[in-house]
Amino acid sequence: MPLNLDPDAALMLRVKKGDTAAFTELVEKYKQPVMNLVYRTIHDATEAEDLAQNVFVQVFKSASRYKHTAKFSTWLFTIARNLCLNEIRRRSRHPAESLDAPHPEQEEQSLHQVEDKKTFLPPENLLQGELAEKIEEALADLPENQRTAILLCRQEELSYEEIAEVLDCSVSATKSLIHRGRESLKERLKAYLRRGDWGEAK
Amino acid sequence: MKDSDYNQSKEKCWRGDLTAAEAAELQAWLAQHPGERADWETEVGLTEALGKLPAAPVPSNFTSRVMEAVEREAKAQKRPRIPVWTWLLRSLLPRAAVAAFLVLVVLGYQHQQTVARREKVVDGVKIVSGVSSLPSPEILQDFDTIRKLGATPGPDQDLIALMK
Repeated sequence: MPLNLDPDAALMLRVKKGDTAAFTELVEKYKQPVMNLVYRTIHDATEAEDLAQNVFVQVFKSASRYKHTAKFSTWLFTIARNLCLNEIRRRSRHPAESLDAPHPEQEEQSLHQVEDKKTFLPPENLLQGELAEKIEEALADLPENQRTAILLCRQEELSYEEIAEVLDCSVSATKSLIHRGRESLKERLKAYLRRGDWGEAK
Repeated sequence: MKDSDYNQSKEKCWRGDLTAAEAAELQAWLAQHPGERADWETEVGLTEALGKLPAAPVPSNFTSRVMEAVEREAKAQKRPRIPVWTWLLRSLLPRAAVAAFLVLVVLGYQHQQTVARREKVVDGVKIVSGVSSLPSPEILQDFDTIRKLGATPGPDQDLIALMK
């Protein structure tokens, strides 16, 4: 085993030998980053949970094919992205309304409930909540590859080379995706970003 | 600092990797290029905003659910596999039976058609064989003349009436 082996890769080598404790450790470490990516791609909490669970099951099943030369997080996010894309394709083939989708009247009612709840929040939290909502909306409207590149870059702190590997494109194409995505976000959120609301709302 | 360095600083800013020294150098550059300041502030604001996005909700039993699913998967992999010949028998036998039945139906139909065709041929041969007992064609030498006789105009009814 190489001396400078990535700790996650070392855990994965143990998983390959059937060590479930090592696998639990990996799930604990990566459940939040995987959920962040899946949730912001699928936009449905319940389906995101199932999909994130499938990501880890897929990791376990494919453990024998894992090569420690690849960084574990890159491999994991590649699996997560592929499953998300499959889900998006499946939805486009079978466009059906979710049974859980609220009735327009119920939706209106639930919005009022949220508003009522928000009035009890301190003003700075209210501002933060509103801004978070705006940025989530703007992110959701981005093309999938731009959104994934931005999220992996900022939230999961992957290098440009690693993001390029996940997106299966060149480093320059990755930077271009991030640039275009950020330009769209800046255009939509200009008013909030210049005001420096994010800096103040802590 | 050059314009290309500004773009590099932007790329570092995207990841929140800008060091204090780089930030100071950038501020000095921005002082000389006030037109870029607004763009830079938006870049910084967006980076901060993305960094502060709330985490997606993860259920408390997520890990245990994953481990249960993995165990189920492992059990399914360990389950004894059905031998190939058993699988072939089970999956192919009903299909083979249906195929054989269809082949039999087609063959039966074809046989029936052949028999019917043969009977028709036999009937034809019987008719042709009866032709040998027909009279000689010489008796038909005046056929056309006789036929034309039948085509002559009928009796003159007015003349018959006068004669009466």
